[in-house]
Amino acid sequence: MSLNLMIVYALGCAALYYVCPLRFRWLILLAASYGFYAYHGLTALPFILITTLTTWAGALHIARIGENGKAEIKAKKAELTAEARKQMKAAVRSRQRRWFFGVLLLNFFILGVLKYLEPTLGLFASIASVFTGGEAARPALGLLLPLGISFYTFSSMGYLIDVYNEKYAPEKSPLRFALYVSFFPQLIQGPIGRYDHLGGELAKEHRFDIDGIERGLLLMLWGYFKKKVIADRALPLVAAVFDHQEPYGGAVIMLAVLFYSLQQYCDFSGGIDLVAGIAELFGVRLAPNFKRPYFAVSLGDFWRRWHISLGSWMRDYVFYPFALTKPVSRLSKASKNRFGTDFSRALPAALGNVLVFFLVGIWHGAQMNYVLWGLYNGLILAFSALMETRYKRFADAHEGLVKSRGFYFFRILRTFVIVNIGWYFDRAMRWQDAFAMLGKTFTGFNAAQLADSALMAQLGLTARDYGVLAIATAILFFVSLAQERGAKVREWIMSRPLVLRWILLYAFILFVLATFVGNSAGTGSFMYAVF
Amino acid sequence: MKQFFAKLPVGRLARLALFLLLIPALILLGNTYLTQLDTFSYMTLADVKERSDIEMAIVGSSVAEFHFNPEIITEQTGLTAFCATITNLRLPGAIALTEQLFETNSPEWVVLVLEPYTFDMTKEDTQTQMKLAPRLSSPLRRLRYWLDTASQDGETLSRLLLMNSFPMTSMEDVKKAALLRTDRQAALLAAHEATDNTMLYRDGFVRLEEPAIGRALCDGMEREETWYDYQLFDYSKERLLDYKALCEKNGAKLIAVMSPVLSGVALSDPSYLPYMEAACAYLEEIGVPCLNMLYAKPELMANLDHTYVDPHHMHGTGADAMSKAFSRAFNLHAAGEATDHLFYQSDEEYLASLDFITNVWATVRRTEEGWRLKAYSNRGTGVTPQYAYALVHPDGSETTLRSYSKRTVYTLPYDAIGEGDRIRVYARPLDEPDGAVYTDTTELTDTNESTGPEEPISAG
Repeated sequence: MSLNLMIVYALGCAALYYVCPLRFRWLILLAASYGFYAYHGLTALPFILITTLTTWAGALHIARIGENGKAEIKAKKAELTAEARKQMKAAVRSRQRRWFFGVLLLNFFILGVLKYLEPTLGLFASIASVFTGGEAARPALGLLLPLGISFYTFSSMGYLIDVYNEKYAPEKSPLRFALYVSFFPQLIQGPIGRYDHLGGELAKEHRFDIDGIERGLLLMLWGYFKKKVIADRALPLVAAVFDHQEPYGGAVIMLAVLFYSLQQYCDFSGGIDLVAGIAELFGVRLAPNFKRPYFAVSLGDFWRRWHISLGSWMRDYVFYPFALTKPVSRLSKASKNRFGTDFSRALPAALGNVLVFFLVGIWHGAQMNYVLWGLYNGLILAFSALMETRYKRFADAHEGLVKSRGFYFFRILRTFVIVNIGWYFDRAMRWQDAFAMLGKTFTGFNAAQLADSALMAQLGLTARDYGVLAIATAILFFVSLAQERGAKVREWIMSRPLVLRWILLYAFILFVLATFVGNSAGTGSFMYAVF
Repeated sequence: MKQFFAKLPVGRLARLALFLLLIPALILLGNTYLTQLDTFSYMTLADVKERSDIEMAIVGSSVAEFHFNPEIITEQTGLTAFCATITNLRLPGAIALTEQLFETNSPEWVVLVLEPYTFDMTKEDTQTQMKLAPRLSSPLRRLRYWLDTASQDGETLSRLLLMNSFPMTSMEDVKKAALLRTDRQAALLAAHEATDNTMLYRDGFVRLEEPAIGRALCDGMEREETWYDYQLFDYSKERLLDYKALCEKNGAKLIAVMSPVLSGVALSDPSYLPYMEAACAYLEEIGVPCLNMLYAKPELMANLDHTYVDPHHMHGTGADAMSKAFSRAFNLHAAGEATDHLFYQSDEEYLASLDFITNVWATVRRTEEGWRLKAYSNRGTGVTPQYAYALVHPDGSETTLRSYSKRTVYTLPYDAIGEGDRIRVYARPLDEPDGAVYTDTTELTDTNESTGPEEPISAG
């Protein structure tokens, strides 16, 4: 479904949603979600149904085992010894665990086969080619990749883990759970909804709220602007350089990396704004997924602002469970004598970060460049974790410097540079290209290429494109800056006098209509839709 | 439900609805003031809206814009003629433009100039839409025109948001637009200067003063060089009926003219002539008289191949001759007299009248002895062709392989071909050295190997 059609679809569904009686509205949303999914291909429907049903039934069964076990222990409390109670609890937990891992593995197996089998074989071929010196042959299995499979699998498995850990009670209604899994705005590129937030939002009876609808429309407009005016306009240059990097020197490559920063951020966060805006049309408030990441002062800060739902999912379901495992605790303790207390304390976090980013790299795709990108981020974060105490000491000793505005800007710039080096690996077609491009950035800058009009013309952008991008990026920057300083831009616009508000909105709409990029090769679809 | 409506914030909803309803007005405004302007189309539309004296409206694409000189036609017919034309205009645009013309004019005659490219392409060129739609005075007409064109190709958004598809991209565009809006004559002079006075506008007619290339345009032309889709689409038939009804409603008499084209173009595609005949027959069938100027006999209009500046357009002298010929045929028709004697009635008659070769090509095939080359040509049915073969070397020099002969086949030994050599075939009517045409050079590779002959037009 094209972006424009999706917007029309959402508006139509919203109209239907509000004319329906309050208690049936969630059913409209469920029908709309499955309608949306079916539009993208009926063949993918069984997969989302399997995930929905197995997770719903599995979680319910796990909770019932726990409840029954507790009831049994309670009933026999008088006649059981403490040891027997402990054994019974362990037996209950063991039964729960079997079901838990059964459902978990089934769903990750489906995800693994459909999404990762082919690229994993490609990855092995790529590794083999390093040793054999030949060209890596990419296998083509032609497997179906259901829409939003990682997003709904991660959401569902997060729910399963939470129920298993008794964080909340399972959802009894299969249809309500199906809505949580399939909620259509977030099927394309997330965010990864967490049941304790999104489940509650979807369960609410949403009355017609004109303020919410206006706010939603405004957010959709902003998302459309980011995606269609900025991201899609920057795309040709990024594709031209990254897809065939050979002719370009470091200066052009660096320009392409900067454009990629802009494109990727606007594509992903613009898409999320659209999704959140559409959700708001239905009265559903999604948790934020971006918080102006390019204002981050460290890499850790960056990842707390970028794709927040994936970061928090990884934190809760991978990082902490891993960092708190017995082997890691033992390793941490063992390192104390050799490397000191600070190192020992930071070690679990450091290892956790490496693991998390290795997995995030794999989540992007089982290709070597993504693995290297993940490891690059993980290792820097691990190094930061290990150096944190020293940095604190430095900060205490140089408080004036650290709190100065200049140092603040330096940190933002430093983070920006670190993140952008990572993007070489994220966007390159092959890991070898990433290294080649990185090498040229530092050793073959060739700034003269930027003045070579014939070469620049090959990059697919006209003078008008650069002009539009400059204006649009400036708008994005100033709005983000205001938000970073705590301003609520939507509320500010909505509270302006009517005439001023309409002039502002019409001017912006006219700008968007006159400058958005129509669907041409490569544009239109969301980058993260393939994850 | 009752409760739901009772709780609706009607005022806020109405305000939101009003806000959204004003967005189309914003689009109209944007399309009018933020799109590029094309000087000649702008002048034509401005004239159409300002004038009220047009008695003969000549409607069509560039084949009308460049070929019908209103000054001559006015002089010859006694009717004040005007060319209401836009490059690439097709039937949806023709309808919108003619409606616009009828707003201030009551022409006695409407002359609809057609060629396959503009008549039977169901997709209106978006650039034509950009030139026409923002200049239409009625928003409703713009809406209808947009819906009509978008229904054919689904390009709904790009056809709606012309300011996005055709934005002003430079200061030159902005200056040009400002000048056209404030001082049209100065803008026109600037446009004439910009083309070194090779394109001169007057009364919707653009006189081309570029040097003609003529039949040399056919050198290198393959047998089938076409962009046309040779079907009489139902859509085109319906639009033609709409057009006829529009003219009838406004009291104008409609006549269609099939545009002439360079002979080589007409013959390079086996479907072209039958299509033109079928289109004319359909027009006659629905009661629209049709003058097929491609089939004009020499007594009405001499062959004008020598006046072509590109395969479809004649320069000013050709346009003058064409305008005179049209006026003569029109006058007869308007007087109720027969015009059939001025036109060939079939492709056989037309082909018999041609005494030259329009284009030549060759098929190549591997044999044991070498490359077997076979030459073909399009030509008048009375023409006997002779063919010559040459090897073209990478430096452009030629070695004659065989001089002119009536034999079509030539076998080239494999070892006679050097690295990068290509083959060229010449054709000329029997013993007429000045009538030579030749192929584009052909590389002798397996990928160019032809499996069988392709029949020429009017194989003699």
